Amino acid sequence: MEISSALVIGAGTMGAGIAQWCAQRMVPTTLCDNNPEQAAKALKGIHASWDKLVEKEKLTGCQVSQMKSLLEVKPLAAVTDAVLVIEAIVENLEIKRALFRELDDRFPARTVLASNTSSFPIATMAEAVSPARRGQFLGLHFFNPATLMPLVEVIKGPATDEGVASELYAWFENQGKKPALCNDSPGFIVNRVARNFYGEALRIVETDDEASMREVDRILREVGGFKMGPFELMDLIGIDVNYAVTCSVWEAFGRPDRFAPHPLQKQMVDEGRFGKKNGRGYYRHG
Amino acid sequence: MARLIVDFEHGDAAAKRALLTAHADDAVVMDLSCLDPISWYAEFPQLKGSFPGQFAMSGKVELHLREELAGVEEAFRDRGLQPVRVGEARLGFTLPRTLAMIVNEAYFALAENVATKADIDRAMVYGVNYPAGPFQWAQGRQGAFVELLDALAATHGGRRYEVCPRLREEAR
Repeated sequence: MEISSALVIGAGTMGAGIAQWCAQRMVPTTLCDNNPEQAAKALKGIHASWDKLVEKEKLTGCQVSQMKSLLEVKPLAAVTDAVLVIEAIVENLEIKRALFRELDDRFPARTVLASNTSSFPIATMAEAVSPARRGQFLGLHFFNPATLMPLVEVIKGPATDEGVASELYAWFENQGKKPALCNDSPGFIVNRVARNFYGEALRIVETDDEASMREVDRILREVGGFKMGPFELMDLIGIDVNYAVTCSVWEAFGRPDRFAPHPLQKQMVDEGRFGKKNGRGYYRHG
Repeated sequence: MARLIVDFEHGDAAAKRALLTAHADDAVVMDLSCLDPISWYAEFPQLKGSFPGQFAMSGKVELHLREELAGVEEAFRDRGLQPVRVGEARLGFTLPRTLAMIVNEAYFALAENVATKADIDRAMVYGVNYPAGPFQWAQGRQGAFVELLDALAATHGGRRYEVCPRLREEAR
């Protein structure tokens, strides 16, 4: 499959990162957002990031000029074609389904529609498009920052054409990503398998005891070779975000013990201790 | 004069008990990978330290000592192991207990046909920077992970530590 054009919808952190990565791979890319100011802000941020990479001699001025010419911001209504569409809008199922219904109506039959969702089943979103499109519908879950993190989860829904999924897998691999192919299941691979990196650490410390958390973080870094310990990482990700993902996976699997959120997570969220972003999480920051 | 005995064997509880009984007047540091160090410390005063030797990753292993003992760390280094001192001992220590849950979940995902072993390993290494994939950690240690999860289940109750049947099958 040759991705000769991409449309990224949603100019938040993930959408902007995905659009930047596509343009860096020399794919003509359009970035859309229903808030034009957000789209313009994202484009400005991407340009600034590229300019910085020129200063650091990671990219040449010529490469960046080309990338800038390949990335444009447009209202969605003005876009009528793309080989690949990646949706990265707000995590709201009904809004996503409405968007996919519109894309299905307006885009050519060959267009592949993909969602960057981290929480909704691909099958549920695919129901919003016509049966003829469902073979061309799948999940493409990028990791933040999308320009740097190599993984893309290529998620097949029950109706996704095997050939479409495997061609996209091969395309991402050729473009330097490390794709992982998976079937539609709550949390896909990473958000499911990683849950107990946090959950077990919380059960080891049990209480809001900073010294114990520091010890767990130290051991998992020094002995386990992890780049960050679970408490440091939860503070970086956002304890509220991590707790929401934990609850979502737990609910999706029918509340099994092994995914149960720890009471300390809720306590932290209730106390407004979200982590690094507001200065107080499991640790104090700044 | 009390001797220092460092037991690196992955023996069962009966073998560990026999060794401790035979060395009642010595200082023993023992691999307690799947046994609860706290209850063993209470029962055997000669047990001065413990470590989860079956779960040494990249040659590093947690080491808990109840008191300073000359020559212990050297014994580890002689075996090609790098001990990392920890302040507390508990069943499954910290790394093995965490890895056991990650590995078990990876087996559940595999059993449900979410992805292949290679794709699960690749996702965890390249998506969240894990130093290795769960199936790389599990390689050759499936039996130890099952034993640890069973011990955790017996200690904590509930179904949290229930072993994935696919992992148990591969441990056989």
